[in-house]
Amino acid sequence: MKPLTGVTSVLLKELRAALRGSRAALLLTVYVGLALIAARLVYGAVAGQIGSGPPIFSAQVGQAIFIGLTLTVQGLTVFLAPATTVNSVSAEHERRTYDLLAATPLGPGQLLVGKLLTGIAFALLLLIAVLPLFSIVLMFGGVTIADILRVLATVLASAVAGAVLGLFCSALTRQTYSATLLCYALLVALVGGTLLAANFWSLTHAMEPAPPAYLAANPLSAVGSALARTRPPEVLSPEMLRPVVFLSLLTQGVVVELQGARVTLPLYRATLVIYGAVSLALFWLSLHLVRPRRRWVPDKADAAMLAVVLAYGALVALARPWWEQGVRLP
Amino acid sequence: MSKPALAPLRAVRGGLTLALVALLLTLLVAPGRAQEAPLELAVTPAFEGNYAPDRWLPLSIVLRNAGPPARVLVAAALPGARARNTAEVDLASGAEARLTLYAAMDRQARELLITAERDGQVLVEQRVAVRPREGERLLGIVAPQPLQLRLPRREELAALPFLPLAMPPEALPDRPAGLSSLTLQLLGELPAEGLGPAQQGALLAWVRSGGHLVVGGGPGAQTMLASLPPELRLAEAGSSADLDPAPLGAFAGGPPPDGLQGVILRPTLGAVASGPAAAPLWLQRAVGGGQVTQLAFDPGLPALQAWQGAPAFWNRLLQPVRIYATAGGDTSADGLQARILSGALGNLPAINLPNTGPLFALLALYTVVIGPGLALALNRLDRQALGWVVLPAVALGVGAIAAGMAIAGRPDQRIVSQITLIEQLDANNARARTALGILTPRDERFAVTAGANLVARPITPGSAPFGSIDGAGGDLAQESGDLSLDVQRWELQGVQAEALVPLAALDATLTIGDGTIDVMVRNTTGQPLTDVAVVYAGSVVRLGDLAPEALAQASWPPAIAPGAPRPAAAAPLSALVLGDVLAVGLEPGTAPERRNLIREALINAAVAPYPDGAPPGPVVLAWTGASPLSLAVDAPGAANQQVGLVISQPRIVGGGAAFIPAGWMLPRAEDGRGTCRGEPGRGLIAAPAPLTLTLALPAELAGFQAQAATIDLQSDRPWPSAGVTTELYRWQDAQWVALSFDGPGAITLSDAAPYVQAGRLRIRLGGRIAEAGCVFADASLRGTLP
Repeated sequence: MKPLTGVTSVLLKELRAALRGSRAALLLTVYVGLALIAARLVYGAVAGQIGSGPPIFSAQVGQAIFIGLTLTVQGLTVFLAPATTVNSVSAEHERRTYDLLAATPLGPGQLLVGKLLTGIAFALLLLIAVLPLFSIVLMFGGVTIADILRVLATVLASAVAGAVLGLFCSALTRQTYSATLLCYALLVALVGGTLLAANFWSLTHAMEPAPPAYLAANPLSAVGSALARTRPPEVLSPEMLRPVVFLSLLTQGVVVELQGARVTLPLYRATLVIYGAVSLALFWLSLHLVRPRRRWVPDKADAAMLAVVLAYGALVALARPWWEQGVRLP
Repeated sequence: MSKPALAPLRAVRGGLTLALVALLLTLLVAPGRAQEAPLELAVTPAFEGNYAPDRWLPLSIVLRNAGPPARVLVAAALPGARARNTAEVDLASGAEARLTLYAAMDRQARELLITAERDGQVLVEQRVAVRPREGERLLGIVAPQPLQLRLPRREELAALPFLPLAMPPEALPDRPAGLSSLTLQLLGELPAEGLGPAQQGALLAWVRSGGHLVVGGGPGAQTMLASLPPELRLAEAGSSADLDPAPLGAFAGGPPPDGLQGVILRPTLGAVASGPAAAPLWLQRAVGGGQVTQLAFDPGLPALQAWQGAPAFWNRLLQPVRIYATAGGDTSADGLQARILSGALGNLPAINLPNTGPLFALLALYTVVIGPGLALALNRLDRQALGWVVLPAVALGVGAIAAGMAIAGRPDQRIVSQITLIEQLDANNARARTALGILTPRDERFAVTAGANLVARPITPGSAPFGSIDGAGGDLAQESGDLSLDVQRWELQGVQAEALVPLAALDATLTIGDGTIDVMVRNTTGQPLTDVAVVYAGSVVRLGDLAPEALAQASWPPAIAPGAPRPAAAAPLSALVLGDVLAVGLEPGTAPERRNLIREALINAAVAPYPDGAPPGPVVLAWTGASPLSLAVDAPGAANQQVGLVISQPRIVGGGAAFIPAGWMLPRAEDGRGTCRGEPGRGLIAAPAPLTLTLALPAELAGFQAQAATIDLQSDRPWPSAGVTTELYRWQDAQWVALSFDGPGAITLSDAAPYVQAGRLRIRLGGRIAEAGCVFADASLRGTLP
């Protein structure tokens, strides 16, 4: 069987199956519903204090909603994206269909790529479903195309990395329950652990902000750094934007005062590079984990993966000045 | 060659000839046009070009037009300034036009460029040399003929040198802005026709905002007094007389002049006399934030010019009410008010929030459709796989509709804020100052129209929580009130306009009785007023909202016993009036409403001309949303805010037995020492000894005849148990009378008449009083009101 044909057949089958039952509808409802509630709450909070305290401008209302909405979407994506793949391999084992699949001409790579693409497609569907909510931001303005592209890249990378993580956990444990447990333990450790580590570093260093590298792998910090540039017009003091204060909890050491000027490091660039590398590594590991036999013997797929990894490494090396700005002060 | 063949050639030649003639004519006519606009411009700055920083400089402009009729724009611009003061003049052919253009000065300009323009083209221009005068006494001497004063020379003074500026009466500006550069004015003599109503209004406004007016005596005193507003008249001029010059010598610290001819002054209520009671040499009274001094003699007397002590005398008498020093900020009343008003603009109104309800409703419906709705529908059709197409299509379709709704409902992001301070000058006129600020997301030019004959200048630069505040650019037309403001994006920029406006004074009365004080306010302004309050001596009487012609009455709060703590008396007036609403915003997790912050700033601006921000008498404060100096900004849809404060003085009336409660006599140190605050209220710093202070009633109560008094003396540090001398001044024989007083506490005077004159009670504390720290003096009086 040609590799592409195999992937396509798995993909079509999985795509058909993905929207069956109530799970997909439930995920969509939760995803869009929670994002809408978040947008309404942020708007209510801002509108509630519009007559007191420092003045709030229309653009800032838009920025506050954009930031609140994006943080919610990123939070949901980080935790829902693995859910799209966390049972993809384990379910085959639990349904005792894995051996049947192994008996078909489908290779492990084709199987995994098909399942991964399905997961990513569902994550994309969630993102598309939430897009209309961003029209609220249009009502107030304050957000540029560059802001949107930055945030979109970060959320998409998080979705893909999350889907790969789910796939890896599924392939590793071969049990959906264990895979889910492992996957979310890793996620909690990643999100909470890095923030905790950064705060601990700060506590032990006279409350100095931790080096941005501490938070480079944190998806919320990544989107926080992408959002931190969504600021009021340049002549207005950034302190005015209250969500920025909230963002500072996620972006310790990323938004810094440097020679009297406020500098926002593009941490999300480093995050994109890390997520790309981790996704490749986990996918490569997963390729081996799903093999029914001679699991760790190199084959042609490894050669292909090695080529992809080398190409990615070269790309990262070439783009070093671009992503290094995210973790190093100018 | 045949003739028909030559015809085209001739035609070409003819055309060329015609073209050459036309070109020649054009060349001849073009220079003729330049010569056709022989507009002459002659500019003479007032005060010989001297000006106080950040004040106004009137420019006398003469335009002569020898060309065709034209509408000319005259503009005065400072070097590098974005805004110009302009006026439009219609000039008939061969006509001459005279106008006074008010130029808003900065702090360092040495040159002004005045241009006459038509259709944006400069026809003629003139540069005028000007000079800022900081920390100097700019003394306007108003007299038909130059008046010679023997003033101290610049090199003889360590500070505040004099800059005498001769002004004929007809040149006296008719706007307060025109007088704003002057620290002092001496009216030497006025012609029989006196001053015009506008000049009188400008003079009164200038005094009220902190100017010191000295009115000369002499033969023309009666004429001069007759042409002054009643508020500025301190006496009736009587017959000519030889005055006793000895007090002049004592005042100057040297021998007196040889003889002094003058008039007998009969003081009006509240004027404080210096010299013999029968024939005082001069009278003084505070008027608003300023002061008026009425002399009984002609300041230009030859005897005074020959007098050696004259420089010291004038140096001491001609004191600015508030020392003008710009180091660390302009402390003059106008400067303080301009800064406060400008800063208050930072409290912008809430933006116009769009109606988000339909959009949120659509998105809520969409959430139901995109999740369970489509799932149910596709399940029923057993076409779940179609979801991969239908779901994105629905999302994108709804997204497009929602985006359309959002863009259609997008509010105007521009914000316009204006605040107006309206100070009642007399029964029919008020001085209004409006600060206008505009915030816009793009560089934009705004057309602003005003109903009043105003002058405008860029607002004082400052900062707000969201960024900076700065003056707008553009042409600021006077007279017509049409302003064209260039506002840069995302920066609060604007102008400050001022004008004398006709406004009927509030009919407000305080009736003093024997133990009661009744307050009555009738709204005679023709505009609805809100939150009307009468404030004095740490007490507020709130009268609520008043519709036009509505009347409200209330009783003054019960008197506080002498010696009882009165922290409210030491609180700023704004805190006293707005205490509750401001306190709400200071609780943890809350912020005060910006509208209340504007109110706070307006009250602070209103009392800025007074020492310590404490008016010398009761004031009525009322809020209005309809300013008499409203600037209409052509920005439909923008969030708009307009807040105005009217401040005026109520009449104080009464007859028969009356009781003046504690707190009504305000303490003032006679040597100008600093004040201090504490639990008992506002006090005076005791060191160095002796501390001589005057407790003064509001000027309207100067006729109060005291029969008994209770004086209370407190201090924030322990009162020395021994070694403090306490004396009261007995006015009848001008003697200090020692009292045996074991302070702190009350001194009861069963016969207070000898010690209270013209509503004033003088106390001198000597010996170890400096150890008392801050001394709080207060008194309650019982007596009769004539």
